[in-house]
Amino acid sequence: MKTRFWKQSGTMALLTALGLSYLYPWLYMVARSFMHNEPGMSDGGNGLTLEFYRQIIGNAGFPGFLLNSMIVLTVVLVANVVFSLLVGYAFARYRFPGKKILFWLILATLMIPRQTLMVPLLDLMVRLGLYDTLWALILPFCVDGFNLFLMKQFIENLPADLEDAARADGAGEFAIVWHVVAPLSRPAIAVLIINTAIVNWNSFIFPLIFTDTASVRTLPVALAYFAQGPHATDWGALMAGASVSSLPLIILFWLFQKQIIEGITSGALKD
Amino acid sequence: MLVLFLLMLVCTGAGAGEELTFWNFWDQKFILPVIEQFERENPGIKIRSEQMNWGNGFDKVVIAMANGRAPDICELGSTWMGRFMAEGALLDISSQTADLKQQYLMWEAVTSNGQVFGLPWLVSTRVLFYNRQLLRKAGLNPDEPPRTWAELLAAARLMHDPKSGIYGFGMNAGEGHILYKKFMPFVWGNGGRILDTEGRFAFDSPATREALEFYLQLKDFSYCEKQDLLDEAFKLGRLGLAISGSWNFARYPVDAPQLDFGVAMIPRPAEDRGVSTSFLGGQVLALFKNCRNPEAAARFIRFLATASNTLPITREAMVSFPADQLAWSDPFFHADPRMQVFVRQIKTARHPPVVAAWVEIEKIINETIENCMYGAPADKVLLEAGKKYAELEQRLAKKQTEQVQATGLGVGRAVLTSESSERSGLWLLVLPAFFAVAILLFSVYLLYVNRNTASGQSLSSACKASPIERSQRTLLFLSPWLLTFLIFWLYPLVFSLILSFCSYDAFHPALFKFAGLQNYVRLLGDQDFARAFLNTLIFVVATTPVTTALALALALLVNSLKRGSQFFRSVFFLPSIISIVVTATIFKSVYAPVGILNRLLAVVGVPAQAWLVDSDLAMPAIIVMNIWVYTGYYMVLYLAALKAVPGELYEAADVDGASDWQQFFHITLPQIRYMTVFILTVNTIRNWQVFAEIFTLTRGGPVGSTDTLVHHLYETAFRYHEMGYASAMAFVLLVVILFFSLLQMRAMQAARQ
Repeated sequence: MKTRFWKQSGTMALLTALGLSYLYPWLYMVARSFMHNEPGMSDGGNGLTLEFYRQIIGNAGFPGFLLNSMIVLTVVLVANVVFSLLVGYAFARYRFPGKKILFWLILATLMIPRQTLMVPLLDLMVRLGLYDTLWALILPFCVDGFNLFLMKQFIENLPADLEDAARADGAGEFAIVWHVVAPLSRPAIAVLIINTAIVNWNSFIFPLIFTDTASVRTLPVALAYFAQGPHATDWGALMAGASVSSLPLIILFWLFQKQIIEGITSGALKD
Repeated sequence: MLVLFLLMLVCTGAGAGEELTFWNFWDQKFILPVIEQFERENPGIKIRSEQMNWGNGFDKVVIAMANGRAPDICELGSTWMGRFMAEGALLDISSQTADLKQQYLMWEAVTSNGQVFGLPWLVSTRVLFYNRQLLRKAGLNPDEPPRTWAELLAAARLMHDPKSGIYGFGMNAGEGHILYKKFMPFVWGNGGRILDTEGRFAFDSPATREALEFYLQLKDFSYCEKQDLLDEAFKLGRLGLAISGSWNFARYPVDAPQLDFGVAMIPRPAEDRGVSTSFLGGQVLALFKNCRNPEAAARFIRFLATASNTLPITREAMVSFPADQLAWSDPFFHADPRMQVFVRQIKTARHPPVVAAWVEIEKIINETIENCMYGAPADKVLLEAGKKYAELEQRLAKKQTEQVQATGLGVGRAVLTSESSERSGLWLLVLPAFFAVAILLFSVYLLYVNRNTASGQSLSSACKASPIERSQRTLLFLSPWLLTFLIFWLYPLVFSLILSFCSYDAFHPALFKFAGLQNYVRLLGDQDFARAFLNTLIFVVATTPVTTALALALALLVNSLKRGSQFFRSVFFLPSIISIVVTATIFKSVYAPVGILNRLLAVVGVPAQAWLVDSDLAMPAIIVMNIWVYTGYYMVLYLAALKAVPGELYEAADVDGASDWQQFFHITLPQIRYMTVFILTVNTIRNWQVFAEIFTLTRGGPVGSTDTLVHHLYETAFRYHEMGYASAMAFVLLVVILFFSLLQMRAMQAARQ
């Protein structure tokens, strides 16, 4: 009993020390967002201000930017969950010709620097008439090699007995994915949602290049205009913008992190 | 579905409106009122302004150009003009601007072969800032700032007192790309130059060597940092002298009213020798060749560049001044006598050479200065610079002959279209070809699957459904996803692959040429690429195993907590939520000279380090930051896997009396193996492509010590416009990552058995 207590306390102490170092940049970000820009970049400020928040949230376009980001994120999230589940399942459980090649092709899209794909993608968007629409920010990102890889790995590791049992009961394949595989994959789906949300919500360079007009501008692109000057970064605006835009992600993380942990322990997984 | 898609491709692009697009960098509150007034005075003309941002604006211009979609009117940096004019990207507006010659400044930046391709809009220069209080303290007369090199050196030496945090001079370092702006004034003032009158490389001269020697002497009494940190140090009264720009006037009087500073012209070599000169640069307004209404566009830029329409920008941002000299009688320039120094310096300042290869030459000059500052012998560095220039010249000459061949009557199979149809070119060939091949392959695949299933061959032995059902199911599962993948990922991938075998310049999307293995061969001899490769390798090897191991350790620790695990989970994960650009910016302050890291080190008695300026520390600093950010992220992935390990396994092991370590190696590790495979693979893939951190923190510097592959590729594509060459780099990277990933998966598979 005693060693256990010490073990717990030791772990707690270590994690607290580490945790502080992880919290520092966050505290810094939030603190700077409320401070005047005066003392430069490395010192604490004198006097608090809401100037930067007023500048950002008070901007006439802000609700629109936020809405655009949310629309894009919602569609991309739903598509990714559905696609990754179905395709991840197919990759994990089915054998079909060309599976290996296709899998490595998917990984290859992760391995090629995105900077290289911008020029052909932009041309494609223009030809499809998607340039300067939200579709340009949605369609390519409904497919994500990372998510697919994650689901494939996760489903492969699940015992197949339950699926076979359901199949024996006459369940269709879609029903199996929906009723058997999806509940068991909740931790992976939660990870997928959080990951997709982070990448998509913070996505900057593609929206910058694929859109022009303010009506389809997303939040990160809009925020960049507030924060960047020709010779110096506007720290206050940058930090306030980052604080504002990370809020929805924090909420999302809090909503889904329980899924990561509780998904399986409460599920009926008996191997 | 694919056929439908092909049909869509044929009707290309949405028809653009009648509006003229104008891309610029400024807050729209300055631009929109001017446009409104212009539209009122010129009914029928509509201008649509789009703001670009300073960080990525030029990328956007380059990508738009590479797609033949450049805006009608564009604000361009004056040092880019040489290239843009030489490539024929801009419209000749000589006749529309002829009457402004006397009134405006900086025509040298927009003139090529006597033709004018842009209207100077904003100009800026650098002057010598001096802290009057520190001069006084050092026993010098604050009313007589240094006027010669010797005086500058003497003043810096007298004021220099690093022990009490006071430095004689602020010298730019760690930002390779702007060094020339600070150094060249000394060369120019001393009679040196970069190119001689015939356009030959004449950088290595006694005048340059003398300036270099002087600059290195000055370095001994200098605080070496990035521009924003130098400006800040000066503001805090820690720098005696610094060369900086007018933007400080927007901040210093507000932020530090007690700061007693003056500005002076850049010192000349000696009382009886040389001149005072400085760097001249700025923004110009230009019309791209595809401008739909050149006459109206020219009228608009004339209207925008007038003193009254430009002064609001100057007054607020104070970054640069109107190129229109009429503006200078404005009270703004007379309220503060120090402004007059800028006015005088602008008139004596020099614009860097306006030649096609300026961006590349700039790099050579910057590298020369940087290498010398970091201790390389001047002889060797200057020799190297000459060699690099010779290589550059050779490459340019070759490119030119290729272009002449290509434009001349469209000879050769390589040329598909003439310059008049920039939008087509390679696209029209590759796009249908790709999808035709895709349809073909898909049909063959269907036939193959049907044949196999028809013959009753089992595709899967595990499930009991009939083979036909199963193959149909697979297709059903895959088809919408596959289509999206094919269109938006595989096609660009294939396109870039083709590009890597072409010489393809963003300026001439229609003028590509199959170059065979030329790009790849060039890569073999490219020392910068080799260095970038090595840097990236170091980065990957240093980060991937550490991040993965730490993530697992953290996950185990957090998982073992009875209470508070949710809290710690969140704390460690939080950094991954913020975009990496913001995180990197925050780390700029962590690594700042008076940042938290140095302050913590001071507590244990370690002297302050210039983390991002020291060429030995910059890469480790970025590695540590990267590990710090991503450990929490992968920890959450591991947590998800740990939670999926059935508890009975541990219970059984407990009964058997297995120790914690035994349990870890025999139960935990094998049970979460699949997640380790995933994390290692994904982590490796991502780390090979490290970019945002580098771009935000160091831009590959100092002396190339953090130049990674993707950063190098990015510069090649967007700074030097060599898209084909950049694509070749991308595919080398792809092959390397593929190799590593395969190796990893094999190793993991071997470990399993």
